[in-house]
Formats: sequence, structure tokens, C-alpha cells
Amino acid sequence: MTAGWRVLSAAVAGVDHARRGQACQDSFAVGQAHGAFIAAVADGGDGLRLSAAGATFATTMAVGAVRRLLSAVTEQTTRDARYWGDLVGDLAEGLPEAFRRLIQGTAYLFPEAEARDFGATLTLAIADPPWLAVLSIGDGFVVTRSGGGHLDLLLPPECGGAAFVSSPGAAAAAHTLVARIADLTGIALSTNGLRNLGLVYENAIAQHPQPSFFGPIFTRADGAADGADLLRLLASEQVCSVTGGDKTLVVAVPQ
Amino acid sequence: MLGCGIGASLVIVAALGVVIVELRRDVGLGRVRPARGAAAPDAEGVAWGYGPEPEAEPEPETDAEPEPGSGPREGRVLAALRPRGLVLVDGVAEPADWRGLGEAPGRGGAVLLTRSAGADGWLAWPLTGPAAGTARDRHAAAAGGSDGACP
Repeated sequence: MTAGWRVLSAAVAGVDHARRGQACQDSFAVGQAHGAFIAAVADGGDGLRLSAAGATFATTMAVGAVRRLLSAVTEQTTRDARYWGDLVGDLAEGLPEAFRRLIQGTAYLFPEAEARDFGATLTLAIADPPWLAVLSIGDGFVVTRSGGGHLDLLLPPECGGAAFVSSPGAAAAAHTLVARIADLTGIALSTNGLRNLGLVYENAIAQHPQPSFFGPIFTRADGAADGADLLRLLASEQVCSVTGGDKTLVVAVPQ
Repeated sequence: MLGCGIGASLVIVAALGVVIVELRRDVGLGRVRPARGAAAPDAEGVAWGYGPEPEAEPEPETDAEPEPGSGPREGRVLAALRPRGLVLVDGVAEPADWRGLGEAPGRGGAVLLTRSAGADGWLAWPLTGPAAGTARDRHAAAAGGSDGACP
């Protein structure tokens, strides 16, 4: 499914949700198409009755959309900065509308549901080294590893109230970015549930990834760890004691 | 492959069958937008102690002049230069190493960029003038809503 990439991924319900008997409202999906690795994470909005379904819709739909766009690539297509910029721009424009159509298509399953009931953030990454294209609607974030272990906060979490894919202004609220990192050795996508652990803040501004958190996790991805290992970490008292909400992490390293 | 909600996963399999994603392809690099800031955390990051921290990178601070190579460019700091980080130049994020004296500008700060022929990344230097960002004004700029700002 993801040949050429070693992937660790897990989503864990937050303490607050678990103690109320609620399921995790985050979701993630990964895929691959035409040599590119695709990953998406989504955070269902608190208090929205169908946000878990919305998160699953968002991630699955996003990965599927990228697959379709990449399938249009021909041998004459040059995958340069303009190509990736166009691609994530198209996704930013098209995914919110596609999301609304998807919801309309589920009217039989969710009678009387409105689009806002499915509110979820979306963070998407498409990696085809040296290129990395990212898109975010809401407060997820993306970390990169390069060289022997240098970490960068490529896309920090959104400020304030998170936009949702289902929001009327989602396309305008989308942030897209194309990176060219020749020595890219890993990417990580997270919902905002891990921002307090995974990022270092100064004066309320996320400055850079927390090396003591992301360093070992990337190292685990390099090795033989599997998703269960990451799940155990995210569900540990060590992590849950300082994070209240759901948390989802996808870590991928090229093999 | 999918995260939470096995039931939701079953639902989406059915739902995806009725949706056609129509994506317009009329947007160019202008869609590439700089990253933005973050909300205040409830707590600082926590050291977990289950693995060693990556070795600190050497500080290549110097007051030497920018190297010749590709012509100097102006870029914006995207990921903190410590001393390596990411800069946004011509709409693309690329690695850069801070070569100036002292602390590099924060996220959104302007830097002068040079690149040696064949190099994969940029060398970042102080940029004098009103467009320059400094460590001192990092938070002031953030408070004003520039890149990386969090109101």
C-alpha cells in the first residue's frame, strides 16, 4: 500500500472523551499513487454529533482525490514547484465542495443532518521527495525531518477557532505550501491534540518541533516499530496526563 | 489504514460511491501561502526520556560576506533557523542555514539568501532595511498579525 515508505500511525481518544464514554473523533488515512506518498489526518469538532464521520470522510476523500489527480500525470508531466502548487491549490478549491456533496450523498444514512454536524479539520501531505506539498484546513500541523535528524515545523497549527472542511469559507481558509527538501528523511502529520507535547512555544507562538518527542518517534519509524507501538505511546499516562483531546499522528519515513 | 470509527468507515465506503470530486485546475503558485501561527498551549512540551535527543547542530555563525553563486534573493523565514530551518523563496519552502551573527529572524522575518552552485539549500544572512525581521521584533510582528502570528 505504501511501498517505499515506512509508516506509523495511530489515533487515540482523548481523556475527556474516553471518560465520557465517547469514541475518538479523529481519523487518518494514508495511500500512495504514482510514486508519491499521501497522508491525511482530521480532527472532528468537539460537540458536533457527526464529527467522527466527518473526520473519516475528510481523510478518505482527500487521499482519494490526490490519487485521482496524480493518475492524470503523464510521462510528459514535469513535477516541479508549479505542478505541486497547482495540485494543492486545486485540492484547496475542490475538497470543501466535494465534502459537501459527500454529505449530501449520505442523507439517507444521516437524515436531518446538516453540513456543520460533520465539522472536521483536515491536514494533508503529499510527499514525492524532494517535493512535499501540504494543505491544511484547521489546526493540524506538519513536521519534517531532514538529513540526520534535523526537525522543522513546516506548517504550524492554526490560531484560534479551527476552520472545518464543512465550513462555508473552507476553501479560503485553506493553507497550502510546497516545499523542496533534498534530504527529506521523514514527515509527521498531527491533529492539534499533540501540539502541547510535540511543539515548543515561545510567547504563545509555535516555534519548532519538540526534539525529545519527535526525534524518538521518527527513530521508531526508522526501525521495526509498528502502529501498535505508536498507539501505546499516545494512549500512555505520560501523554494523556497533559493532553485532554483526541490525538492522531501519522509518521512516515522513506525506506 | 483508517483511524477511529469502524462504523464510520463502513459508511464512507457507501458514501464515496455517490460522489464525484470535481477539482478545478485553474490556480497557480499564487495558492502557495506562507504558514501561520499557533494558539497558546496549555503546557510546554515535555521531554519523554525514552530516547536520546538529536545532537545539537554546530553554530556556523560568521560575519563573512555572502558567498557568490546564484544571485542574492530575499526570502522569509518559514521554520526557525536554528541555524538550519526553512525559508520561503519564490513561493517554495527550502532549507536554509543561518550565517548571520546572533539570533536569526523569527518566522516571517526577511532574510537575504545566497546559494552556491549545485547546493541543495540556501545560506541565510541578515537583511538590512525596513523589510528585515529581527529576533527582537519577532513577537511584535506576530502580535500585528504577520506570518506566524497568533492574535
